Amino acid sequence: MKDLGFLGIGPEGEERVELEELAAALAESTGIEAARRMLREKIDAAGLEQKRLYSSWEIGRICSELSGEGGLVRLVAESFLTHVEDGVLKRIEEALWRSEEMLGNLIETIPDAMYLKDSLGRHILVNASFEKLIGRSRDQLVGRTDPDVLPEELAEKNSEIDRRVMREGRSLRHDGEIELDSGKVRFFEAVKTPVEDPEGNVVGVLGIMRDSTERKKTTDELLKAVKLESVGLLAGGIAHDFNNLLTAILGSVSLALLKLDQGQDVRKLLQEIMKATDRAKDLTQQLLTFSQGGAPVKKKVSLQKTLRDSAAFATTGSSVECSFDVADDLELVECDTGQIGQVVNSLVLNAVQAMPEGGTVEVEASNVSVTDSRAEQDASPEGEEETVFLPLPSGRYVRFVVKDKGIGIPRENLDRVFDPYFTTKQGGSGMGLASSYNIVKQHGGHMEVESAPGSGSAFSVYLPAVKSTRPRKVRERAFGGADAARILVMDDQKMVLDVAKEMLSYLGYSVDCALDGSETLRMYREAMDSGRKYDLVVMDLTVPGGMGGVETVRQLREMDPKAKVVVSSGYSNNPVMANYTDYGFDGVVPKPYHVDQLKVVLDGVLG
Amino acid sequence: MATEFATAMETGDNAAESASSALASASTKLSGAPDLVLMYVSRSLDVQGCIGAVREALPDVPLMGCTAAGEFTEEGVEPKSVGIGLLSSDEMDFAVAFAEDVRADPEAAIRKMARDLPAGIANHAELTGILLLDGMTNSGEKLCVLASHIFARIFGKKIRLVGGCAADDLQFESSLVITGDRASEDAAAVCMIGSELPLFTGLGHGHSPLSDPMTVTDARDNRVMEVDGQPAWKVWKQLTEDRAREVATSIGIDPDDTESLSRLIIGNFQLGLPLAEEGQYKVRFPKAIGSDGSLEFPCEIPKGTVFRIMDGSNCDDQVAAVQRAVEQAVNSAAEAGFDSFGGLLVFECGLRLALLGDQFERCVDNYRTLLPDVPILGWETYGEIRMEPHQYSGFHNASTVVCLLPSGGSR
Repeated sequence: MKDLGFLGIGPEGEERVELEELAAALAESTGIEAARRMLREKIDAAGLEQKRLYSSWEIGRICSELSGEGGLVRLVAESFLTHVEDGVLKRIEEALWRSEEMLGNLIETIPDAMYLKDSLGRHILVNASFEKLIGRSRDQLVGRTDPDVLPEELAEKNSEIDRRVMREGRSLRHDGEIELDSGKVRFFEAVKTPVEDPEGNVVGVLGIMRDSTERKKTTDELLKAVKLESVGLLAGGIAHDFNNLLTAILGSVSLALLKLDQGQDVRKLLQEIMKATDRAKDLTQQLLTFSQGGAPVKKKVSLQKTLRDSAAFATTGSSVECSFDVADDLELVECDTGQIGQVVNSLVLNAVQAMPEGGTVEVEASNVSVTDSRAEQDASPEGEEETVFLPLPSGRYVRFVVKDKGIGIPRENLDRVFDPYFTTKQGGSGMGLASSYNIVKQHGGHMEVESAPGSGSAFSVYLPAVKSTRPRKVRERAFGGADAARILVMDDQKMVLDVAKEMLSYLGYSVDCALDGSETLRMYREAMDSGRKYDLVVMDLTVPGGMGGVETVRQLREMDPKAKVVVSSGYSNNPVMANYTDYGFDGVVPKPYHVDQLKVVLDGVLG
Repeated sequence: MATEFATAMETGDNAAESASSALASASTKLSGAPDLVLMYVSRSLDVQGCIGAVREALPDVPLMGCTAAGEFTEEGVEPKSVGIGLLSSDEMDFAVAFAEDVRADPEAAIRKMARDLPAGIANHAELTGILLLDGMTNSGEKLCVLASHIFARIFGKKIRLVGGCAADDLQFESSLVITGDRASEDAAAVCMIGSELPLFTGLGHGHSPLSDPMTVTDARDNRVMEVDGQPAWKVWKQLTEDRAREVATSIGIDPDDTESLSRLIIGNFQLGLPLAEEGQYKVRFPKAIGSDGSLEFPCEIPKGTVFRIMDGSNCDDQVAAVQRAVEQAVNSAAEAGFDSFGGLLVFECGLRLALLGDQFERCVDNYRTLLPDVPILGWETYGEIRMEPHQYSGFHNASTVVCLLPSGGSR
C-alpha cells in the first residue's frame, strides 16, 4: 500500500502484520519452505529489514515485489494485500469522518459529488452527493473498484480515465451518464485530478462530478423553444420568398395554357416553372433542416454544402453577404446535417445581428490536427498543417469558422456566451449559442470564440473527421430501357401517384399504384401468386390513417425477402431517410424529385 | 421445517428416466417444496436428458450440478448413475449464477457470476458458495482465489467456498457444468447460499510424505519441467519405483510392465505442499507425463516450490481421510454450538475412487457411521475446493471435502 500521508495517515502507528500470516497464505501454493525463502528475498529486494512484524505499508511493498512473480503468487499476494488494506481502509475512513475540521462537514455538504480512489482504483472516500448520483451507498462503495459496483461498460470507461489521469499525472474532464437500478438515467460532468504523496508519487485520483441531469433537461426544453422562436423570425422571410416563387409558377402555368391554346411553343415557360420549383424545393429542404432536433442522426458528409446552404439561408432578406473559403480537400465528418446546419445558421444569424449596418460574414473551413498535449502543439512544424491544443481526444478534425466584423463581445462576457439564458440582445432567449454548443458536444466536437469589442468575433467549431468511403458505383441503364420491369408505387396522394406513374411509364416501366400499405401488400401478394411479381416497389414513408412505409416494408420482407424497395418522402430529414438500409429499404428518393433523379435511384437499385 | 436435505440415486439405460425416478424418490423424503436441486451425473449418460427430466418436474427451482467420475449417497455407491439432492430451507436463500469461457479469462467469468447474483443475498450473515467448474480447464486454483477475492469485494463480506471440478468417469476428455437448462464445457457455476447459520466444512486426505524436500527448478504454468535440476518424471520414478513395485505386486499388477507401473506411480504418488501448520500437506495430482519428461498438474506449480512426494497407496489411510474431514466439520459446528445436521455435501477426488476401487464403499460406510441418519450427496471430482473465509487458497487434489448443513434450532 502506498503511504497515505496525503490523508494525514502515514505508516507510523499502523497495525502490525505477522509476516508468518503472509507465509502461510503463500504456502498454499508454493509450500511453506519456499514461501519463507521467497519472502526473505522479497523483503531484501524491497529494502526492508528482516523482522517478524511489519506495518501494512511495508506489507504492501513486499506484496508488490511478490506480484512481480506473476501467476498464483501474484494472485495470493494481491488477495492478502486486499485483506490487510481492508483493515487500513476502515481506519482511514474512521479517521477521515472523525476529523470534522478536515473533511467531514465540508465534503459531506458540498453539492458536487466527490470521491477519492487509491492507486488500485478502490474508493477510499465518497460523499453523500456521490452516493446519490450513482445510486450506491457508502457501504457498497468504500473499498471497492468501479468494476465491483458499476455496470460493465461505465466501469470500464471510468477506470480507463482514472488510469489515464494517474499515468499522465494531469487532470481530465469528461461527461458521462449512468443508469440507476430504478432505470432512471443521470447525466454528469466530471473532473478527475491525480493525487500525489509528499514525494510527488501519484497515489490516487480525486473525482468531482456535477449532476447535469436537470440542466440537460432544461437545455433540451429550451432548445425546442429557441427553434420555435427562430422559426417565427424567419417565417416572414420564407413566406415572402415562397410567394415570389408561387407567383412565377402560377404566372408561367397560366401563360402556358393560353399559349398552348394558340399552338405556341411553351418549352421556355416550362423551364421557368422547373427552375422556380427547384428553388422552392431548396427552400423546403432548408426549413426541414432547420426544424430538426433531438439526438443526432449521423451520416458521413462533406460540410461544404451544409455550410453554404445554411449560411445563405440565415442571410436571407438581410443586407449581409457571405464569403466562403473552404478547403478543396476538406475531410468528411460524421454528423447530423440538420443539426450542424442549425449551428451554422445560428452562428451566421449572430454575425448578421452583430453587423446591423451590413457587411460580409466570412465562413472558412479547413482540416486540422488536434492534440490533447500542449507540448505536441508547440512542437508542430511551421508551414505544415495546423496542430491545435484542445480539450478533445487527439486526432483529425474539420474546423469551420464564422467571422464577422461587428461590434464584438466584451471580455467579461466571453466565458458566458455559451451559457443558457445568457444574452445581450433585447428579446433574445440566450439559447442560440447554448443549443449550438450542446449540438457540437453531442457530435464529439468543440466550439470556442475569439472576440474583442469593435473588432468582430470569430466562432470556431471542431468536428471529428472520418475516413471517406468510396461511393458505390451505379450501373446506369439506358434512358427508357427498362424492359418493361414492373414497378408498384404507393402513395396516399393521388396527385403524386399520377405524376410518378407518368414519369415511370415514360422511363419504360410497367406501373401499378396503391394508396396505402395494406393495398400494396395485397397487390404484391397477388402478383407473386400469379408468377409476375413486381421488380421494385416505391413507397411513401407516411400514410395518414393507413399503414406507412416502415411497417409495409417489414411485412413485405417477410413475404419476399428479395423484394427491392425504395422509400420516398417529403420528410427528407426523417431518420428513416438517412438510414434507410437499417429499416429494410434498398434505396431512397426524397420528394420532390425530377424524372432523371428518379431514374438514377431506380437504376442503382435494380442494378 | 428449518433445513431439509433429501437424496436419491438411480442408474439405468435411460438417463432421463433415471433422473425422473431419483427426483421422485428424493421428493418423497422431503416435507416441503425444494428450493434447490443438485445433480451429479455420469458423463457416459445423456446429460441433457437428465436436465430435461428435472426441469420438467421442477421448472422454477434452481438447478446446479455437473458431470462426475462417480456418484454416491448415504445409500451407497452406484457406477454410472444420476445422483440428486433436494434442499429445502426456510433458513437459507439460494442463488445460482453461471459463466462460460473460463479458460480464456477466469476473472471475467467470476465477475460475470458476481454481477448475475442478486445483491440482496449479501444481507445474510453468512455466505457460502458451492463452486463447480469444468475439470478440463486447469484453472481450479486460480478460479478459487479469484472467486474468494471478488465475491468478498462485491458482497462486502468474506465468503466460504466448497465445490469441485466436473469430471468424466476418469476419461479426462470432456466435463460439463450444469445450470438451469444447460450443460456446458469451459464453464463455471456458483450457488451462493445466504444463511444466518454458518455452514461447516472439513478436508482430509490419506497421503503421507515419502521423499525429502525437493525444489521445482523449472516450471511452466501447470507443467513441472524439472525437480532439483533433473527432469520431473525421472525424479518421480527414481524415488517411488521401489514402493510402486511393492504396491503393484500386492494388487496383482506386473511390476515389469512399464506402462502399468507408470500409471500406478502417478496414481499413488502425488506432490505434497507443506503448509504452515507443522505436518500438514496439501496434495497436487500429476495428471499426465509429458513426452519431454515433465509432469502436468491440474493447477499452476510455481517455480521455486518446495515439496515432498507423497505416498497415497495405503488404503486404510485413504478411508481414514473421511474421518478427518467429517471430524473437522463436526468440531467446527460444535464450537459454534451446533450438533444437529440436515445434510452432508461431499466432494471426493476421483483419484481416491481409482485408488480404492471396491474399497471405496468403506468411505461411504465411514460417512454413514460418523453421521448416522444424515442424508449424503457425494460425487467424484477432478479437484476439490474448500476455502474458509480466512484462507487465501483452497484448491486440493486427492482429498475429500465435506460441507455440513446445520439444521435450525440445534444451537
